Amino acid sequence: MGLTKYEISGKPFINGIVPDTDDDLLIVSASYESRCLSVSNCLADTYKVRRGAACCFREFLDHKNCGEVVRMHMERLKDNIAKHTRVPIISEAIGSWLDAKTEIEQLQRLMKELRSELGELSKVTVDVTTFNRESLAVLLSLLSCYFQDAKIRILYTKPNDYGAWLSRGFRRVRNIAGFPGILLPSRQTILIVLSGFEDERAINIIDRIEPASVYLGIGDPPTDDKFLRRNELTSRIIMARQDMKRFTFQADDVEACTKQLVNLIKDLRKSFNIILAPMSSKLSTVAAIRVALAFPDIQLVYGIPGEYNVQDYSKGEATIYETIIPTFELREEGRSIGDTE
Amino acid sequence: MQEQSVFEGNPFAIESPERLTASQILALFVEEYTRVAEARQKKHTFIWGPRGSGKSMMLRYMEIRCVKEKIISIEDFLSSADGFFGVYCPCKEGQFNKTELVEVLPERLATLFTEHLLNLSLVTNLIIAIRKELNPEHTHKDKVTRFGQLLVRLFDPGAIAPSRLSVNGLFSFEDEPLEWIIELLNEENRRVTRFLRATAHGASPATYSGSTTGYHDFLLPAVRLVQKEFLGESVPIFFLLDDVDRLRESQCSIVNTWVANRDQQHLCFKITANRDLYATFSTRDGGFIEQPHDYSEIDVEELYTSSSSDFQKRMMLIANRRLQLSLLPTKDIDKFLPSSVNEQKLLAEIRIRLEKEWDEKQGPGRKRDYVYRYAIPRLFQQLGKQKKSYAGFGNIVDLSSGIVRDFLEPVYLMVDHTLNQGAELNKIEFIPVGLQDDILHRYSEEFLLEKFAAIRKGLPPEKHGVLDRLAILVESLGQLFYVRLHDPDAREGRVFSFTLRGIASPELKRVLDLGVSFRYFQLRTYSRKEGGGLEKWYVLNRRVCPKFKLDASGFGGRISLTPEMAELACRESNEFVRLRLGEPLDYEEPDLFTMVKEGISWD
Repeated sequence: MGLTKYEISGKPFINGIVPDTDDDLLIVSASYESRCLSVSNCLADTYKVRRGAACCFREFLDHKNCGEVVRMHMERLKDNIAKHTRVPIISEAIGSWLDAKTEIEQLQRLMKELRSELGELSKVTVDVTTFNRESLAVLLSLLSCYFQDAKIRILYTKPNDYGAWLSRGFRRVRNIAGFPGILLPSRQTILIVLSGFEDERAINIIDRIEPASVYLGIGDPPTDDKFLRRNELTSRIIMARQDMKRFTFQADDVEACTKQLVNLIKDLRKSFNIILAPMSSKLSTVAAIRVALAFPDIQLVYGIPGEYNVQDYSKGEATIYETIIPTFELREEGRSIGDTE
Repeated sequence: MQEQSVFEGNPFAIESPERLTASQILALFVEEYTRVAEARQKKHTFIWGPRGSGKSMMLRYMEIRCVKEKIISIEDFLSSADGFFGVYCPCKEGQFNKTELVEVLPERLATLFTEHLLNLSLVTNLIIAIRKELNPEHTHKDKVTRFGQLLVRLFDPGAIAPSRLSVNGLFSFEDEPLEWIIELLNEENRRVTRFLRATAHGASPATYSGSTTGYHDFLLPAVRLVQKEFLGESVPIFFLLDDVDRLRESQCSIVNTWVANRDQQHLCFKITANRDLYATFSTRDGGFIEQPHDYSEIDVEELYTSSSSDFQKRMMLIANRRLQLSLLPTKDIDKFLPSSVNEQKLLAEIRIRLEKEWDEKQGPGRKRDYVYRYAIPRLFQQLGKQKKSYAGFGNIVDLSSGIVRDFLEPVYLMVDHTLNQGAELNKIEFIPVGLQDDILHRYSEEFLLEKFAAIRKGLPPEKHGVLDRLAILVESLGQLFYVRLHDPDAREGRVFSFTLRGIASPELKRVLDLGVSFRYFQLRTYSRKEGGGLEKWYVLNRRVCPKFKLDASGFGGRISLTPEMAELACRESNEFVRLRLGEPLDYEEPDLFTMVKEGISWD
């Protein structure tokens, strides 16, 4: 598996996972950010896919400030993808970022629909750019359950910059459904935070979980140097608290980050309960999801914010990252490392 | 000697009780005036209190590892009439309130698995405590083996067969029976988690073939086995359940159902929670648990803080204990935190003047009542625009509004500031009045500015309006109480609480509830003197006093607000103050009960 970076220019460049062959599925997410369209805009003319699927949150579709934009993005995505399908059917999953049950039900329904209509899938492309982390974890886990032999290609569009704030407020922390982890009463708990720009959100997660100790990860190298500077600033605020251990991870590379996380946890998990909170880049979030899939004793958590910055979350689109993850292989690897299942 | 190592640095630092060793807990915990004796009684007990009020500390103090540290013989303790075996069982975030259990699974299934996970956790903690804390003669191999064999029989043999197989690969039951049992319980825990994962994400319907356990078929028999084999049949096990307000409603009903069983001779639940957040008192069959039949309760949040109150006495012991354990040279908190000499002098002069006034007029009422009622308001009035000092141990206790942490925190900041100025800990004899006041004013301001901003960050946007109204309400009350205190004609100026006369609208209720949950108000009920039932009594957190220049020292009475007036106070401070002051002085005299509880000294 490697990592490829494409600078976004005028010419569409995204081809099939296997050259000259149709992808089985392309999943995208409609959001309030314009970069949700980047991947679909960059599909090469020759790109063909058997089925497209667009996901969205009902709260965004109904939002008074961004609903119109999100609905427009949804339509644009469907139009863009339809140009590359042999049969113009685009499946939809309208989930919820507030209600875990609705989100799972919608994505489960989508998986069942795809399996019944398309059979086994082997080449799945996921544009992870504007999925929220919780939804992305559920989606990747479901894909690995329903289509165990699939190659999953991850595409991610890095923006030129982010807004002054990404989310505000804090509702609660919850484990991502399907990643309950095993928290044994006989063990102390370690919380591993892959930190991003949201210090308050990270502090809220730490405060509510009250772990015996916290490992705070800084994304270095980052996807962009200016993002590292912002991350450093955020992490200083969090590091001011007691019992913090700092480490770095590669925020711009799924494979490298996966290996770093596995190295970090492989010994810790023998003696501690491990909770993992991915709050950094989407690529490192994919790595965290892979690790949590490989080691089911790890709990994956998400801090639900009060609101997202739906009007100024990010600016522009700079680079598209491409990487292919053999999810099921990692599951096997995890098992061989020590999963008792 | 071990006490000396408790505080090498700032002795007023606040540490989570979970991180303290047994000897540190014993060194720091002050038993007097805490009602811990009540908590030790052989009944189910709810211990209510907000964060920082000392609930977890009280639980940990009752844990067997702490009890062991302060007694000579564990055998004597367990065989005494008051003996018990305390096992700490925290309800950690994500341990029982997993998304699959509270949001995804149907309630019936979720309840079944929650109870099973709770049982596994409680019994695991119990066995770990037995293994670690009992002397070897208590845990003789024959006993342990017999216990293990009988405990395993409480499970369905077919259901645990795969777990047994797995555990046999790690431990030998013959050689390490307790480790073997703990691992068996862990393995059953893992199987539940695997099922939860498969339920959420599985491509085909998930099936569960592991064990399930209930109260009567597992928890109670397991406890009775432990009693029989290790402790003695009459020694109850106290399950010290911390932070139970983390459980959702259906999960709380499991705990309530256990409480309703009234098996206190075998096991007692000591349950800590924030009362406002505890989801329900209903049981799984739709009944309710009631006090005193099913449980007793202890409220660790104190309302009264005056010099003869239990809280001030407790704080004195806590603070002096910390001084004793520290390198600070002063060991008396009254000397370490002196109050303003100038103000004390001024107050004494005012008292003499008031006595003379009363002598001249021969009234009204009794002389000491007259002096008590008017001395403090006159002090505030005389200070005028000068800064009021809140320095001094007693004053800081008043400002803490009955929360231990809210006393320790500002004092910690005072010592910290002094250390940052280059002072050596062993040379800090006292905290100057000026510095105390600076920190206390900042601490008060933080509660009104930064705290509101922080709360806003932690609330979903739909609640921001409620928070805004709460901020205005606090401002309105602060202004009103300030004007009352500084009015020379006010019959009673020392007011910082109100009762609500009438039913609050849903909107007003949301504001008041939010105020209570973030401790801007302490909520009590008050019996109206003229009869007619109870009124809700909201006491303003006295941490706001320095900012509004209010008297934090006593409960001189309470004003009564109609819901309409309270709603106005949530919208428009100036208008509220203007209208309220225009009304007749409608306040409640402090009654005798209040005076006794408050411990007012008439001399």
